[in-house]
Amino acid sequence: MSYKGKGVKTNVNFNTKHLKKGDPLPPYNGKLRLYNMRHCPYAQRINLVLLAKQLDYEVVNINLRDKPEWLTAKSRFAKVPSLEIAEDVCIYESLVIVEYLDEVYPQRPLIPKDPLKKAYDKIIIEAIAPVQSFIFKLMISPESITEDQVVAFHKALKFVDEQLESRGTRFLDGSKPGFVDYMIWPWFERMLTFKEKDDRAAIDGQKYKLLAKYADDMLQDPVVTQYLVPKNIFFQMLDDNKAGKPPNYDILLEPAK
Amino acid sequence: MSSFRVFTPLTQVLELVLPYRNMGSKALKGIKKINFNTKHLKKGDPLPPFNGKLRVYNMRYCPYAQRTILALNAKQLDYEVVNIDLKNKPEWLTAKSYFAKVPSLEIAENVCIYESLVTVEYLDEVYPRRPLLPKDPLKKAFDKIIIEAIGPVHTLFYKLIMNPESLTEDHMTAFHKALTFVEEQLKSRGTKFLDGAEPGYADYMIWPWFERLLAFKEKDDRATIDGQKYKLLTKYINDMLEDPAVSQYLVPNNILFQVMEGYQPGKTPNYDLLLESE
Repeated sequence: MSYKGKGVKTNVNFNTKHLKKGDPLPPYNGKLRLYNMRHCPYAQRINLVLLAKQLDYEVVNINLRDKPEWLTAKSRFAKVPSLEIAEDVCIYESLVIVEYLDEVYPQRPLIPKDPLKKAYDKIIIEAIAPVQSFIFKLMISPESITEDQVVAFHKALKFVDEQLESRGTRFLDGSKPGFVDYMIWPWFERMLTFKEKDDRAAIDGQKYKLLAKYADDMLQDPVVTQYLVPKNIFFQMLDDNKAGKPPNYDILLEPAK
Repeated sequence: MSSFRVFTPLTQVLELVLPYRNMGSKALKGIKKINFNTKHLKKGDPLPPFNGKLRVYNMRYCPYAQRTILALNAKQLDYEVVNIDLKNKPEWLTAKSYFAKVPSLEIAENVCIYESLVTVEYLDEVYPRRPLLPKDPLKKAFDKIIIEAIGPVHTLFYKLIMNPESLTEDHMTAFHKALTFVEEQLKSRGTKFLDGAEPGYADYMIWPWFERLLAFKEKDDRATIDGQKYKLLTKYINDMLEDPAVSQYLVPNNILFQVMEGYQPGKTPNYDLLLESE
């Protein structure tokens, strides 16, 4: 069975209302559909890949605090991202979705063909786990960050910096971003924004020379730029978290303040 | 030695690796038995010289490292095991495993791959005999989904060993949800094992935790897999126990319990118990 979508770039609307309990399931219309949350870094991975491959798809945003009743039919563990590749045929877990897409849609291949290079891309993705925890804590409970977590965070940054050095290319996967670049990007994007509020998130350009330049190069990538969230929106979300307010998922829908 | 791996471009490293890939048949085992029960090396112990064989930096009781061992066993590859004392790591470990973790698979001298699933996916691609991963992209995706879905089973086991009092109602609910998912997958696939008539990727990657639950139900009935509630899963576990890749690596329950007791606060695990009993 072939689930190939059209290879045409369209202006995908990411900023739709986050559906919640009581909201009906939008009828399936044959397009690749991503069950998403606009600010989720894991779901962002899928958007980056779909945009890189210029695939036609639609986004159904989900209110993760008040999930619609039909979500478990589309994502067994009620998590985002979930990719509906045919009606009621869904794949979840962000890396699993990306590997599936890269195999089924060969345009702009992202994953290296060589087994050793592929292995090292995956090693880097696993290696940034301390960066993911660190960013998560910065958003939710910055006071609870421990010394060990800071050390692990820096060890991970050092590893990526060393990989950039040994590969000798502009991006980890070559002259254009590839699999590992897009998979780790969501957290680097958040670090670049958060450093203005908490300097523990800063990538020290003296300590990590290549990494700092790399992050800036990624920021200009045409795929990355399509999904960026304005800084003021991010800061608003951080402030809401600090004030103990529930997340305002639809903040991007509201008229610019 | 770490500088070699870090500063040499991957393209140069590949020139060393390619000959090994083309000599895949050389790595196939005859009837030689692998010695898993070697001394766990610690600080001060010298690095065993590399001798051209695939080498796994291992810890005899680590469920993650067991995944690499199971894949190597299933593919009947020739390899050697270098066991590591994880509480007192040898100085050379970071040169073989950047984050000083096991498993790490040395595929050529100083060329190492780590993260258990990454080692197995690499092996499956480079050694095509007895393919473990499904070829079909959707089947492959669902194998990987199952592997991720048993996260709560890992957590339950970890807490049973380290801190059983910290197990909450939520942990138990998540654990049972994961078991239900595997049961449903067995039902919908309708085969003896998740990957068909023989175990495959999903089967071997989740096995280490089911093996430990089987042992630990004697110690804590929260580890029990109810045969009435999970009919297919119960039969499946018994079938996996008899698989040759699995059975050659099993550890007697009493040994497993003794080692795991060493993880409690204030104690040190005795990794070399299987050496002593030979």
